[in-house]
Amino acid sequence: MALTGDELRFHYTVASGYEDPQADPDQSLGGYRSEDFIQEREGDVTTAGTTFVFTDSKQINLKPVSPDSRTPLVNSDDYASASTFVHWYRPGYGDADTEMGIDHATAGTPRDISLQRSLDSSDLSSEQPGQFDQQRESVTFTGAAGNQQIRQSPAVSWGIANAWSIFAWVRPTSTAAGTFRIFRMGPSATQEWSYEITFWRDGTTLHVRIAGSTSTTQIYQTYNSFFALDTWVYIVVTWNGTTLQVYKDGSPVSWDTQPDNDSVTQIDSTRYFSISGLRMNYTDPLEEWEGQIHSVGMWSSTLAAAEVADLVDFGDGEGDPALDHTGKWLVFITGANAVDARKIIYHDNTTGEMGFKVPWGTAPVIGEIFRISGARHLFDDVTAQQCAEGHVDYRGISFYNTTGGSLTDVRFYIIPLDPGTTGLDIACGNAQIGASDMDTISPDTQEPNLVTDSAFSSTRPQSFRRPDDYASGKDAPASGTSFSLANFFHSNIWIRRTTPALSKRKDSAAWLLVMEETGGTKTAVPIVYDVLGYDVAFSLDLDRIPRTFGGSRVTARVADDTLGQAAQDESVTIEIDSGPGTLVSETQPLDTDVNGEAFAIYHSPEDDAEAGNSVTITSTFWGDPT
Amino acid sequence: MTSRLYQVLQGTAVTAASTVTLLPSGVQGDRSALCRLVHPDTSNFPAVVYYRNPDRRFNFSTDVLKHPITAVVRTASSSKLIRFETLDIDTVVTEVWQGGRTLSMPLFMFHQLEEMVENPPDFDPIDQQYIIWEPRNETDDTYKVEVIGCQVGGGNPGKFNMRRWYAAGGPSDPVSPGDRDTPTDTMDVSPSPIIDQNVILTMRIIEKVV
Repeated sequence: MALTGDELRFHYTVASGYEDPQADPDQSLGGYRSEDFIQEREGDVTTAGTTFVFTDSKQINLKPVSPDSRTPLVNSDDYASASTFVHWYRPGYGDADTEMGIDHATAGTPRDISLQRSLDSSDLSSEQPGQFDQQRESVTFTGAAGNQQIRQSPAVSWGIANAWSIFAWVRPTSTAAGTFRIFRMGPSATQEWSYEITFWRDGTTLHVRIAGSTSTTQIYQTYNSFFALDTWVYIVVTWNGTTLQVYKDGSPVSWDTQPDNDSVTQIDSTRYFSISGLRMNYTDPLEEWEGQIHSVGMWSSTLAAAEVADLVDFGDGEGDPALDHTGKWLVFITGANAVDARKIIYHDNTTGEMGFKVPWGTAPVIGEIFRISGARHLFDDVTAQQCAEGHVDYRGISFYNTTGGSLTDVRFYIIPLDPGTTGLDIACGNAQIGASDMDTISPDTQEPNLVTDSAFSSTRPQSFRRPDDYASGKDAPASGTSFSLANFFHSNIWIRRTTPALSKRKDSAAWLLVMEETGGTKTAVPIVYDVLGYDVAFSLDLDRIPRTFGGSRVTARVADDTLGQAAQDESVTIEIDSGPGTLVSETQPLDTDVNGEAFAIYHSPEDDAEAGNSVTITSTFWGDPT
Repeated sequence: MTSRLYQVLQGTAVTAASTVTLLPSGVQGDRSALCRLVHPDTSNFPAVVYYRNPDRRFNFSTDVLKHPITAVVRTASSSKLIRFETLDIDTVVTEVWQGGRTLSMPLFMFHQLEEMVENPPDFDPIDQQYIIWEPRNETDDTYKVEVIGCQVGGGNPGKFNMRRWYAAGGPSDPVSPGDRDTPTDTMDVSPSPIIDQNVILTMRIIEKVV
């Protein structure tokens, strides 16, 4: 696949990186891993007032690490792609790791939902039951008598009518008989049997119940062999006012027993809510869950089967491609600057710029907060000679604030998506400089604020992290460190791309630039470089069959494979792959001449006993026609 | 709208390879051993091993034959022989690959010989380097030489009578199979045409390599 200039390349297939949550030791990126960086849809984004109009949409999804790498992935942002998505509870994803924070919400401020047991930072490093498991990003519940519950009290309106969908991502650590509640929503903080939505495990059976005006007016179904010990399962329950449908790992399942199947209404008013346990009770919630719960969320609509299937990613990186998410990609800003805002990753096909545009502040102003000039392929101008001999250069990325106010508490991360394969690293400059200064710094002639390892942390924004910092877990960003960027000011970082000597043609690599806001919302764009582009025709031949005591002139020829024209000033190497003899200029890059040729001299051994032995000479092309 | 997926590519080397089997040159001093010429610039010139040894060789057997210059002059009483001893450096060795019905040599070998003619070692008044000639089928000795010329046919040395025959037999397409139509066509040496005229290589002996 030849690399051409108009394509924006995204990482997908490189499996290294952060597949293992351990590789993200402090979970500062929420355990995002490289292959979660999946989809891209590009086009123009225009604005009409403060309403973004999607003529075509760009979609870049970050997916959370699966609670268990052996289980299907769930595309969390696809939750938001369904416009009726209203709530998502995910441990550790909110403002504080000790809370079940709300990440995706269509309106309002984060709800006051906290673990029954208050955790402090010292708990986070332990493995005690009932505490937040950073590696799995889930909460562990110990079951009966554990008194562990996540709850909402007082009751609030959840904004769902008689059409809704609820998901839960759970892992039982027991399949014992009994009642182990996953989810319950009801009108009372104490036990109630009316106007209730609840589902629980008993043995390996899932029980789902929707109660109406009385405790016996209910839809009640059971699903046998639904759970397996120590296995994550993704449950989706949908309701359209008359029909209950359950999905397991994205696929619909049929009930096995149906003790009651009444007509149920009026379940949409203000309700209490609990994850784990039956009662909203600090000291005795009763029927607590035994195992892990990763996240729970709900929609105010009845998801179709295709939509549910699309939520579940079984590791292939794609949901259902038939679903059109045009205009539905939403990442909401929460926290102090909470507004219902759509953050758009834009990509200007004309200028090559890409970045974020975001409404910001209480009276949303559309502005840029990030821009890469001439992006797409930052380093695609590496010459053949540089490719062969090795090269280092720099490109600046500016953070350009036109939102009308200062941006604070915004963190940026640079993640190499294929570490170890191409020798990538970055250097950061920390000057907050004006726009006019940006263009006066030449990345080719200056190493702006390139600092050594020891000085790095003292001169850069704390939130910038080098890949090696990231990999080793050292030098984590200090808590509360802010990156403040005044309106109409730039700050910039510099990405240093190292092309090792003898880089192969068509090498490319990418970073992921992640912006994390207060509240944990993360958005990402790729930064990609390609070394080379075109295909060539390439040949090698010897001017004579070598004899012992003799030799040959070995000539490599490079030509444009389209026009057939000789390619001058390209780099090749010629070396003996096997067999006796020596080769002058072996492994050294050779430049092709006006005929597209580079040659080396093979000297055969001065021993007639070597006659009859084979010699294989190999030539490698390193640079492409310029 | 369609969704597109892009990949970060891992570079794949573009390589070309050629495998050949070394041919023998024979043991030096053995009658079947092939002679060779070694250019001092080994970085740019591989040693030339004769595809076949010459059919005739002038002024050399197992060593340089430096024939004295003599003259007979009359004196008052009789004729007298005047003899001028010559030096090695005055000896020109000539090697002839006979053409005609036997065909002389493959074209590629002629090119190798001509390469030695066209690329004399750089002049160096302090440490002049020479092409080394190794008549390996005659002697263990090697000689520093200056290649004077390489001639094809019996005419002017600057005009090569290059009617070529092909190994497959008989005159054929005058275009060599080794000619390249595109820059990356290979130049296979095996079907190289054979010259049907005498090829004459002349070299001036500088000295025997001690």
